[in-house]
Amino acid sequence: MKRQVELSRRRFPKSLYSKGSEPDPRFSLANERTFLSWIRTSLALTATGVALEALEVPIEPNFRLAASLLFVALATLSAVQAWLGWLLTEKAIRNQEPLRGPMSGAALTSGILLGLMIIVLGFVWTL
Amino acid sequence: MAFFDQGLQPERTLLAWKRTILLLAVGSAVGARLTFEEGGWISVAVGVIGLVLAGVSYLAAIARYKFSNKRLIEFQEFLSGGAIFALVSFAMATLTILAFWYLVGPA
Repeated sequence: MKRQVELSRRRFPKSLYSKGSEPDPRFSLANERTFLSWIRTSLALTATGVALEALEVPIEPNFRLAASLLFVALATLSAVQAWLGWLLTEKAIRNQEPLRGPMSGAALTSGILLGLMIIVLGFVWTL
Repeated sequence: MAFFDQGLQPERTLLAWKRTILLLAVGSAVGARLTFEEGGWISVAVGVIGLVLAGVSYLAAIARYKFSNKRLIEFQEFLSGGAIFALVSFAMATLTILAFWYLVGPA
């Protein structure tokens, strides 16, 4: 118990590590890999948004900008999801609570579909 | 060679870090090249910072793996905190803000 209190003081965030118990390390490692997957998703969405404009993909410019902004906004959402997802999952693991699903999964999926529709509309506009 | 888990979880986690860092490095270089005409020296600076951070992160990930793996094998303890995740999320969010600036900022 004393060791756990001592360890929780040195780890961030204290609010997480001061409660619950140390989980099986394999669960924490799996949580870490999920975090990195969200970060890679965020990177890919940022790259998509920037590339649409930088490469001047031949669709109507306003639609192109709208799609770019949407993808970059989704990238920001993914970066936030990465941190919050890691934090809440680690908390659930430590306290032996049920795991939540990704909070922004539906928003992300819908956003990507919307972005693709905007690109298609922008392409059709130029015909 | 001793290892902690037959499923090689620490090794898979290290590979996940390497994949992520590689993507960051490539994204920084390509992003700098694509945005150079509009962004000028700022694009180059962001690209160079991204590459340097990727290099440092790569070495840090390997060092973290070696330290963590040793503790896992000897004590079955995994003592990593959340600071690194907060830092990476913050860096990624900052990158998206820079992307916004590129898209809607002054030409």
